[in-house]
Amino acid sequence: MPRCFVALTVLLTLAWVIALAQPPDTTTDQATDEQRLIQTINSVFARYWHERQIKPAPPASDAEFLRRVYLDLTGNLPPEEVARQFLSDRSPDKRRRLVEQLLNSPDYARWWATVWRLWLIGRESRRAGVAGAIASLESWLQDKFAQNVPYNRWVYQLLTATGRTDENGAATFFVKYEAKPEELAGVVSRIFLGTRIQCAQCHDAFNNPRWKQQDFWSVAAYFARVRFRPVRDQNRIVAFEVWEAPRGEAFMERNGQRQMVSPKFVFASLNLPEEPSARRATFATYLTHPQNRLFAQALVNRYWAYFFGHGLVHPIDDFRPENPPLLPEVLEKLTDDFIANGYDLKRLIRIIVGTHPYQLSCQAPGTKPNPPETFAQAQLRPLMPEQLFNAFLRATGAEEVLKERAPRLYEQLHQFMMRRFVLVFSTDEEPDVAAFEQTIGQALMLMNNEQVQRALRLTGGLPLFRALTDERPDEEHLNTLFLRFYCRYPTHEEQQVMMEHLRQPVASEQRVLSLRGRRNIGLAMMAGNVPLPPKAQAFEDIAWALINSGEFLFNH
Amino acid sequence: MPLGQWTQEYCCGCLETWSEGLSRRGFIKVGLGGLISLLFADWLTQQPLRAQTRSSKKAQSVILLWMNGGPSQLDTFDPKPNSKNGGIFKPIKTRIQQVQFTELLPQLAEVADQLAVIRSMVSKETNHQRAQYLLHTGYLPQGTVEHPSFGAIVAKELGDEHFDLPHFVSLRGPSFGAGFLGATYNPFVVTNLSQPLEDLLPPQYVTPERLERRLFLLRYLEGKFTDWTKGENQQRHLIAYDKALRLMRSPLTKAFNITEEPESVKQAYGDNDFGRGCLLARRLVEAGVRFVEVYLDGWDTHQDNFTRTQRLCSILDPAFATLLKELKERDLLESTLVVWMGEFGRTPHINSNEGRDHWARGFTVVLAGGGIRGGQVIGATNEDGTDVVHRPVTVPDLFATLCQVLGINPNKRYYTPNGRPITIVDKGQVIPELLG
Repeated sequence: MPRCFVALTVLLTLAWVIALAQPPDTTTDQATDEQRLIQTINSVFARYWHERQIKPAPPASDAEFLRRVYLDLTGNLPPEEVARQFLSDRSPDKRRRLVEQLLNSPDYARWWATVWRLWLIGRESRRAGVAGAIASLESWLQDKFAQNVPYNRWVYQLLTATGRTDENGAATFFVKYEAKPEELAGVVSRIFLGTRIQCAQCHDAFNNPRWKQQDFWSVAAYFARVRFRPVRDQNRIVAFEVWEAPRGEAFMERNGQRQMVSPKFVFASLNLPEEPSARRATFATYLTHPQNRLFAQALVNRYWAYFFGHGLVHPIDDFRPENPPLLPEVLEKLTDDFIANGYDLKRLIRIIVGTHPYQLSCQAPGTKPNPPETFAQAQLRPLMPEQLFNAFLRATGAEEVLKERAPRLYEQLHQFMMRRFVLVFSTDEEPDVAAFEQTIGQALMLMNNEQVQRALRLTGGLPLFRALTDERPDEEHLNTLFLRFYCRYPTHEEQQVMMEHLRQPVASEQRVLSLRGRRNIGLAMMAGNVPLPPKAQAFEDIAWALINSGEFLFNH
Repeated sequence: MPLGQWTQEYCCGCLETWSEGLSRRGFIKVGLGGLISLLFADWLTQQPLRAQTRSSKKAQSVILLWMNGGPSQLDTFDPKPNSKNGGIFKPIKTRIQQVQFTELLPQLAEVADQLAVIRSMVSKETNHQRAQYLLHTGYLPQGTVEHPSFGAIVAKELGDEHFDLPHFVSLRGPSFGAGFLGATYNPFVVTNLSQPLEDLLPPQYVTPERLERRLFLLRYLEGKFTDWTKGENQQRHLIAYDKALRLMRSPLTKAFNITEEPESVKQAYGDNDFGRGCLLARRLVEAGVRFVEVYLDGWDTHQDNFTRTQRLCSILDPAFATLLKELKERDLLESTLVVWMGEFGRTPHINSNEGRDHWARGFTVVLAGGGIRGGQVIGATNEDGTDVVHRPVTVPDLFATLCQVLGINPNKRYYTPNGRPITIVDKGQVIPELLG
């Protein structure tokens, strides 16, 4: 009996695969090519689930897919109108078109610049004058993503960056690590090669016998000539300058002796002529060379982990023979495709989000959830603080009301709230930290914080504001709230529960003002000095419940 | 070659992974055999120390007075009056025989019989961020592992799960998080000390009845979503909300409200955020909180060291001294360990801007309470303050001692999510003279 069930699942999966694989109207060679790879990946997973008797979650609904792909690609929720349109669109290729549209939007470049900034230099720095340099790195990255510059090319540019951080944002990378060779060796190996060599700084590594102390320092030697200094304007640090000195060596301490170590690319044996160029340029050439497959593998796996909350190789910085990928075929095929297509990041994203595993629901298929390493159910991934903040501004309407009517107030609120969100919700991006745990401070902030409450006041006010100017029924305003927070319409039962709530009598707040004809009512509400009429209060309560629920706080 | 020679003072923990032979991920795969060896390993390391720790009365709470930026030891607890490095402040007598502080600390000099002053702290780290990490966690940052700060360790080891308040509270500073121990043990940060707790209650227009209605809707939505996903993260989210609601309703939260205190007490601590922080710390410890960190920022005195240190000491001295007095009056001093430190000290050499720069080769940490033997100085620097000449104390030594005082086994192993074993303290030696 269970076998029948599995067989049925496989059949359904295959049907889904075929449905997905149907060529779109505007077929190009490239698109079919991508579709073929997606199909291959899908069938590898179908086989894997079948063999392991894992029942995958059902396919994601349009609403789930919309919210997920928006958060993943742009770090924000879709505007209400976009959600309405997408959900009512009946064309079969609407998901593919949405992905294409998002990848070509400025929001894609802006968001991925933030993501990569976090990966490269982390979230905060307490050092003076660094804020400007960080912004500069982010705008440098944004430019690369907007133009879809090949990954190997921009990484080369990043690792060979020189000059002032305000003129070349890439230089910030070296400032963050204070141009220390031993820091850079560890960080670069971890980020770009998915490999930890840090332990070998002080001794031959025990956890990975391949890395000798000599190896660590021969990587460090490539960065031994980087220098940086602050650029001051009357004692104030305005930027940093990075350059490569003509001389400088790396030294390791071994048995109490200080030994000079020459640069050597220890990650792959490449048949390349030794180039007499600057040290970092040599390293970057080797690193990004197609023969150095690990460079592409590590990136593919990093992206996979970003979209699933779990890497094929897991943790993502632990590539070694003893820790093989879950499904080597998937990693290898994606890597081949990535290299063959010129390290095209947008193409890689299109493929990953086109796969069946990505397009599964977060609904548990049985009594227990499928664990992340099966890729058989969408995981509840906590929103990054930046995503949560964007989503909060957009869902509540604070963005649209304030941005145009009170840009300065918006800017202030934005800065203040962003700091609060990052402070309260920050988790480290490093791979070896605890699983998600929510803190009391986060819960208190979302439930009670004054600014959050004011923004909800506004949302509560929005449907009412409309209700007074148009004659749409409450159900329609309820739809608005659900679409804004959850990108979906309420279920029938939810609607009943909420309508019941709206019918209950509420004590008026004092001094109820007429909202009719007041253009800046949203602003007044944000300022907290307009009492809401009873119905708006009831909507406000609903908005409060929506924002505090897991369905809002996770990407799912 | 013995393994010890390969490892440096603060190493990455990969030696232990190697010597243990199996990571925890490995253990899950090997099943029962692994389980037994793991339990056995824990039993081996914990057993003897437990026996030791039962014998004496233990501290239950910690107040960390964190001097952000690195305070000058020469202008505070380790004066060098006969040296060109000594600076402008005169030494004064203290309650410890033949031990002097500078004139900036008159009130602390009066309670010095309760202080244990370690004048011989040594570390290699003079970068702010890295040293702050080191002095909060006992480890140097190592890329992939995020170590828990000591506050998180104390919260985990000594905290009662059913306590309404957070176990680890940081006043005005971000402190350092729980790292791989997980967000449950993260510091609860309070930024505004003059007012009752931030975000504790909804705005006034949300009446208790409205809050109930809101929670009814929330419970409904959460129930649907939990049924739908059955996800672990959703469970964790619900637990946090439960705790937050418990906190909102707890009578213990009045500990956060210092406006209840008499004016004279507030004045004694000082009308500034550090003073208020120390007062709040006393109230929290009284309510049962395990670890409170109070920040005093501004010690990075590369310029104008003397003016700035004088100003900071005028804040520090009354607050610290009043805290000790109050703890004693309320019979809390024996059970409360007070630690005064920053990430490092400052150079004996005075630079051309009348400043002192970063210095980790001989700086001062002060301990009090918690059963620590007060009225003594540990270690010494030379006449010019340029070297430790007696009994150097490393950061792991300090942490091992703090653990000992609190009855925490410093050799206890935690496992990171990736299965790396990491001991609470990295091979430190307890300083026996400090124990009462």
